[in-house]
Amino acid sequence: MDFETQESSVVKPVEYRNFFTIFTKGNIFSKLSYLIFGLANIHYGQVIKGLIFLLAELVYIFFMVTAGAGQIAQLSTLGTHTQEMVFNEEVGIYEMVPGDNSMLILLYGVIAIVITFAIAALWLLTIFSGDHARAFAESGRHVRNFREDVKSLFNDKIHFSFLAIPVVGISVFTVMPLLYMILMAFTNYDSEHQPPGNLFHWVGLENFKTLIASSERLSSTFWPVLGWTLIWGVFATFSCYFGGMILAIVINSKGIKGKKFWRTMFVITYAIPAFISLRFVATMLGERGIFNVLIQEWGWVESALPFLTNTTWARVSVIVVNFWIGVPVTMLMVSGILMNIPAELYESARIDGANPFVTFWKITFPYMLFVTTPYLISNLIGNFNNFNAIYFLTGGAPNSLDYFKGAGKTDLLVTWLYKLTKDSNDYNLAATIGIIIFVLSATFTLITFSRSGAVQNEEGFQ
Amino acid sequence: MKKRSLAVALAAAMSMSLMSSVSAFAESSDVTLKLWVPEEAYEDTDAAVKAFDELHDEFNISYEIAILGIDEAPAMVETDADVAADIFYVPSGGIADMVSKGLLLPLAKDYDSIEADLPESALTAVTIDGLKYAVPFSPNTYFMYYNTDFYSEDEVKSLDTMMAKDFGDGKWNFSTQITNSWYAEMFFMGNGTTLFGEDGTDPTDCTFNNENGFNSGAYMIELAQNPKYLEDADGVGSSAFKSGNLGAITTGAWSAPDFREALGDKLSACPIPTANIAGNEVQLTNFVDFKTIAVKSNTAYPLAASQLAVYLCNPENSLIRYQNQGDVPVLMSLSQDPSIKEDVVANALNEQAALSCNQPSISQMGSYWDPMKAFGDGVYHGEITMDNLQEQLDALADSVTATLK
Amino acid sequence: MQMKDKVIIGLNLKYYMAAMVLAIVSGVSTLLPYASAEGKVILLLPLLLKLGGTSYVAVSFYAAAILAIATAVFSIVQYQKTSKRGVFAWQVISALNCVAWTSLLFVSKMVLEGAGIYGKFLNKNLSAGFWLGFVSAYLGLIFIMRVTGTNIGYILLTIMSIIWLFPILWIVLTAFREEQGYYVGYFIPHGFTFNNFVELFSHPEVLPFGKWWVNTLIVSAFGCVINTMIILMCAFILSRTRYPGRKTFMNVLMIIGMFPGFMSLIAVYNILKGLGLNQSLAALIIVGAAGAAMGYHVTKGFFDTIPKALDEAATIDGATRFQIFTKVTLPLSSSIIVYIVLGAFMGAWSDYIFPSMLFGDKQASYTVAVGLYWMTDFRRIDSYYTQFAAGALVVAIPIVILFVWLQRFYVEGLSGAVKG
Repeated sequence: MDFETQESSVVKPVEYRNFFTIFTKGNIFSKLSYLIFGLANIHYGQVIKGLIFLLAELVYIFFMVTAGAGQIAQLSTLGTHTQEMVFNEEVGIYEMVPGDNSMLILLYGVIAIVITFAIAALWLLTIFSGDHARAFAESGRHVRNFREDVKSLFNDKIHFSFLAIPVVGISVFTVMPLLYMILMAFTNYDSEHQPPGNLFHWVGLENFKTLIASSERLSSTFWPVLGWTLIWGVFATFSCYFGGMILAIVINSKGIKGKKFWRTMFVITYAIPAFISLRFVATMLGERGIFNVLIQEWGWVESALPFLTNTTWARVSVIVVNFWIGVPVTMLMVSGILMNIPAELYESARIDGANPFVTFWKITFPYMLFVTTPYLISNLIGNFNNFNAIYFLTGGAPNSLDYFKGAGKTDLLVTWLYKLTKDSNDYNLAATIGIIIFVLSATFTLITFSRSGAVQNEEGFQ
Repeated sequence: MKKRSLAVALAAAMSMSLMSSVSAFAESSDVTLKLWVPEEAYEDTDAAVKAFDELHDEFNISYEIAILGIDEAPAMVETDADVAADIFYVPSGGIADMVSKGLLLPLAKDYDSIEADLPESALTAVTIDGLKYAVPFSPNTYFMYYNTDFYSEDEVKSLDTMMAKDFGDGKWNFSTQITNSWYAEMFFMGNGTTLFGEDGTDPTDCTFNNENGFNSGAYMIELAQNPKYLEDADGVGSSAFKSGNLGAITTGAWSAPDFREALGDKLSACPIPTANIAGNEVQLTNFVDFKTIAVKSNTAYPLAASQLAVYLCNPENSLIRYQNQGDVPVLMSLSQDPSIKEDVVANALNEQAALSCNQPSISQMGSYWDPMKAFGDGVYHGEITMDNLQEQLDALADSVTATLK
Repeated sequence: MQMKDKVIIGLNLKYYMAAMVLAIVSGVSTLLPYASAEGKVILLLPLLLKLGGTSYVAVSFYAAAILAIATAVFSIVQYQKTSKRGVFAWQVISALNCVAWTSLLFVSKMVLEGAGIYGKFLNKNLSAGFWLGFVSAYLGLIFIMRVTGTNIGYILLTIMSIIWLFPILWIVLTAFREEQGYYVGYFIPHGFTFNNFVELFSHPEVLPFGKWWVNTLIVSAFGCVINTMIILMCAFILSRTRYPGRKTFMNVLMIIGMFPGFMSLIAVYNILKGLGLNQSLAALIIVGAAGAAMGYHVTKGFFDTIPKALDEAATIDGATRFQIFTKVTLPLSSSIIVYIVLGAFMGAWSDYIFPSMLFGDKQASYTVAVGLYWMTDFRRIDSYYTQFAAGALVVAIPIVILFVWLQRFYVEGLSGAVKG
């Protein structure tokens, strides 16, 4: 662990110690600094810094004694007292006697654990910071005072100051809730065990078994929904990718005047918040929506088409509507990349007499694929989790009797997950699906990494 | 007029009893309450809470009223019971679920003042394990509106008579919502099939897939394919009815003001008709649910909140609610009130409520809605045919009674 | 061949013959059977006599016939005496010809049924004459465009723009529609009104749209400033500095990003509640800012393209890292800054799920997304549909203007996305 950048001017060699030698070789202050945060810093002249470390330790101890320790301890049972309603004879009313709330116990427990980890990280930091002060002092160098430490936060230690807000923000509003969610997958927090009226408790891997391997309705819903999620992801990603690319190439090709005008035509779709345009398109596609009215009026079909009510139609419809929404973004992005393609490549192709299609296949497309592979994969993962497109358009409909209650034929794992929490309160199942989505995304990301690693080595693409 | 004065007298008597019952509390305590009511009930509730405060010297009430639809309340209380309203409207169908989550306070104080005036079905709908968790104030079910240009009073008694007429192109005879589980059960419940047993408490029972159920399903398929039938999805049926292109439609009391404005004297209402299913003339039967007022379990002022909840459903306030919002009162003493007695819509609702069966209030009911909707979708969109009907009905029954374990 | 010898600058005459043949085919197709149904076969020209101006859409029929013949005649005239101006005029006629034949796809049923020629007409009843005219019109246009050296992409762009703008047009028309209601059986409203917009702002107690709009503006304004700063700082550190744990940090961010966030919203809500921030706009801003760093990729990709030598030169001149950030990196990043600002701005206008949960019953704190969705609830949709459309326009217009104005930066910014 090296928290300082090297300095070149030498008075006497600076001798740093590692985690163990700080203790074994250190004096009493260094040794005690394992227990009392910042003691070594104070000893070597960094009084304010040391006191801040100490204060953090005291706050933590106070927190653990008053609340934290109890919260962590309760995690093992997730609560034992059930809420009760007691009749108050004197006044003639019922009154609630609050019980344990498993949900809050789980959440607070997670928070206490995360805080403990944060303190552990600070503990390591203080030990090395103390050793750093010692090493500088012993080698006869100037030990930074508090002002200089603060200044260094804007220079060589800028990552501490610049990343402080993101790290705290992500820990509090992303990591803690995520841990909470992950743990929920190992409980029986379903519609039958709802706090505050009921307690829930740990069940181990039960939920994973039910979801994946039971012969029940649940797993016969899970696999088809997973299948459709994959199909949707692939179609949604590649249709928009190629559509946007072709559109961008056409707009950016020579001889098209008013490029900005054409781009604007398509960007308008993108500028309207997606859920609004999706809600509108959903009404337009209804049995008596304007599309069905018009195509009958135009004489294209005899009776209304089941755009969103028949399984196959609905699946095609969501992909087509997603195409409508997604193409403009890809078009803008590809426009940017097209500007970066070296003009000489096209020039030489033109001299060789290549027609536009050959130029596309031999130059534009390979270049584009080369540059956009990581984007494409992350887009694919994004589409597996494309909540908006499905939820606001079909809400997962058409529903099917083949599926577990609530799931529909256009539901993705992520919309099904949402319905499980919102409509049927089966949080444990939803959390389990959340973890499965993670595994899925992680697999695809691993593939990206190996792919883009290879791509990066081909710096000399020509 | 006589009956109305009876109601007022009743209300007055009740307020007296309230006053006497609380005289034990000498000094007034500060009470802060929050109420959730639908948009249209805002002003009446405001006035009612003020009147309640006047009546009760022991409370010094400061209150806040926020707008929330009746069926939005359960989810909202669940998200955060701490900021939820103390008193809110809730459909009786949502009570069992909220009770199992421990979100509702059992009510006792003052309840006896209206208990005797409530029909058995309404009490059953709010009672769980012997405790009453809400105060019902209006039955909530759908019945049939019809246009007197299309049908006579006799014709609307049978769906088959109605469908047999021909009004020409661009006109429909009948509209309901096969694709909505709150409507579609009428074909089954009337025809001797059961959902969660005879009394609606057996979570393992659903006989929609027996022979009678098969005949009901077949009837639905035939109806859905009839070009004179209009599916009332997304308000399509209401628009057609208002523009005079539809003979009859099933919907609830909430549609009455709109329909009256559009059709005037041509509007009439009656219970849903009978249907000839496999040779038997059966009365179609739907679920009846009640609009109720409930109190959250963690309210800081259980005494004031329970009393106010009951007060909001007393005859006086029920009558005001009927006059201003069209919620037909459930209280039996009010059914003879002249303004209600002469109202075709209120009559139709009351007649319908008498024919209907109580919507099961066990929490397994949560597993009914989605599969039934899927079944309705399948029927209406032609994916369920006579060939796979039995198979799909089996799947429906299986799905409705399915549990996670 | 006479054509082969001709050379006119700006015209590519080797495609002339093909274009002329197609033009003539187009003309001839007016003489072939136009449609056949119910055992009747009918030609286009006799059909015109029968139509006799039944409706305004019948104009398409006359236009198609006249233009098809005109383009054929024009091609022959030009063949005799080719001029640049003439060929361009022919191109215009040919383009109009395409428009006319395409419109027949939409109006044939209306016109033929209106004139009482057929009872139940469908486009599948159209015959060889129509399809030949239709196809030859387009192919002819393509070849003429080859002759004049015009990019054929215009045809594709025109068709695609129409398809892309069609739903938008519907939203606009609905917003100005006088008749209320969810479903109407026609495209063009029977009456136009500005009232939907007025209504939107005139019932603050039930529907405080103005308040929602201001709320969203506040959130998006703060979001723009705070999120942009956080993203820029985070991307700067990850791109321009090296420190132990940097890779680990990036990997952790990536792994976190792969979990679907919905699940944990209830936990986020409870944490905010613990901090006393539930149901407040501040919560929305804070949660947005807390997660902002997760979107560092695009900006990092952009920063990676700024030469390292600039930083090194500045360091030699004695600049601190912070000064490099403010004095060297930021001034070079205007396009990426615009990109982030636009993204943050739009995010606030379209985020629905979290705000809907956060605000609960507190209608006065809603953002437009929550408010607009509230209007589409099935109990309200019928009465609020036109106002919903009006609200959608009020939301979309500022964003569209920003987009059109800042398009160039956005394109440059997005192209940085793929380099990350």
